[in-house]
Amino acid sequence: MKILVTGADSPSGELLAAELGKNHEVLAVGCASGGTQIPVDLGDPDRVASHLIGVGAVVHAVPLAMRTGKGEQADQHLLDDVTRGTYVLTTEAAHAGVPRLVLISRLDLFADYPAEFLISTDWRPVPRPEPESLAVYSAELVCREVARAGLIEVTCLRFAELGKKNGTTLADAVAAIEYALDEPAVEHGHHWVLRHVASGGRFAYGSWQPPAKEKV
Amino acid sequence: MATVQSGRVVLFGAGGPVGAAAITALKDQYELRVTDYRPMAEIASEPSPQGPRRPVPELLGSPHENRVVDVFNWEQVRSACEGMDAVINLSVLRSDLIPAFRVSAVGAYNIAMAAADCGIKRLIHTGPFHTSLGHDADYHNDFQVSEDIPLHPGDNLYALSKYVGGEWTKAIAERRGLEVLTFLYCDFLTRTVYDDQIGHGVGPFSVSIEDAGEAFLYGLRAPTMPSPYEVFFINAPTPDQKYPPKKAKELLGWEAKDQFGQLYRKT
Repeated sequence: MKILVTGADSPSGELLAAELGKNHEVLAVGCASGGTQIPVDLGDPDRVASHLIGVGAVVHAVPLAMRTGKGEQADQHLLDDVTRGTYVLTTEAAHAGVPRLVLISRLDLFADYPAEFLISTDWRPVPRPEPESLAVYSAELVCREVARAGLIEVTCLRFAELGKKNGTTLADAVAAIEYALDEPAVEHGHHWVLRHVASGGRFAYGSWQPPAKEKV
Repeated sequence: MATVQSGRVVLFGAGGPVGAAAITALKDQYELRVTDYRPMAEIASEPSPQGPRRPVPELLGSPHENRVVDVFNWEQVRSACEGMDAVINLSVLRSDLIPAFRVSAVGAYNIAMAAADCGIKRLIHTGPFHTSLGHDADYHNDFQVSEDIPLHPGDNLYALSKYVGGEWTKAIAERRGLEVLTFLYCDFLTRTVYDDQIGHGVGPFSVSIEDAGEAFLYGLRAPTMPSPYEVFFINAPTPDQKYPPKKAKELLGWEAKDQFGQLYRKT
């Protein structure tokens, strides 16, 4: 399957793109040029559409690794870029007939709940009033709403810190993405699927488990 | 206490019809800082782009102030909030991709953050309630829909960009000690009923533009709210029982004067 992976100009996105590239044809895109990724402004519908031709699924990893830039209006541009970029990517993918988008979100949307709470996907996110946290949250809201309209199926995977045993290991992250990519199309029911993926640490309760582990 | 009985109020995006009605309702009670993306003098000198039945804002003189503010610009928004006692956010851009997110979403973020930074206690945020969005979760086929339901904007650019702005505003309110009243609207009529409207019925989520303006006075003067973010339907209590505006009466003491009996009764 040909997969478009966004956020590939970040270390985390680059790692995911490289791992997914072992089993798929990966088109890695980022907002910056350099490395092996293609620079694409996700807020530009024509540019995004041109890269979706022949794509079977999108892995939207921008929220995983974004950082506020420096300079005037940096917060405002981060919020605008992530939110509008997610809207354009999701709606253009739907228009192009891409059946599924996997959104990589973050479990730190729940960081401000008391640590002893057993957080699951039934809990309301509590974003901090800070640009990075609000941008992650809005990426979820935008994807969920486009999915609600029935235009595309979205699987939202919330990761803890990538590459950490007390976070989300790279192996578990890739397994969760591969599982989402392989799932059959929804015939009845929700077009928005939500999973927590934590290999250890405070968010491990209720985490999605790879099928092999479920049999143990 | 977040109640604002008197003092200084800044309005963002005041160049439209709701801004015009808000200015009329508030100008004798508060000192207003009226802002829009375009100069208010220019806006006031032209007919409303929404048609001859829509009011144009009155250009206010001293002690009021008029100012050009792009709500995407943090410094301009922050500066406009300084010295104010309350904030009203009327800004919106509906159909163009880039301004929709920069005004309706990031603008709302800037306004809520600036209000919190300036220690302002009450913000009245505004937005649409779309009664039909073309998907099965839009409440179009429901009745007795209440104010506290989560909005389901779907992929509609206008609805979704305003929804994101509202959710960011809510997150800021809950964490930064700000009290936000969100007023939702759908159809606007006027206090004057025109002959060509009589006998044609009325939409289930309608309010006169004059009543919409007066609701801001009630919003500013209402007592402390039960939670940091409260949503209100700003519409007339029409007898269809589709979107009854209960909370506005209970918490603000506001009820629409114009209830459109001439429109929904047979002539």
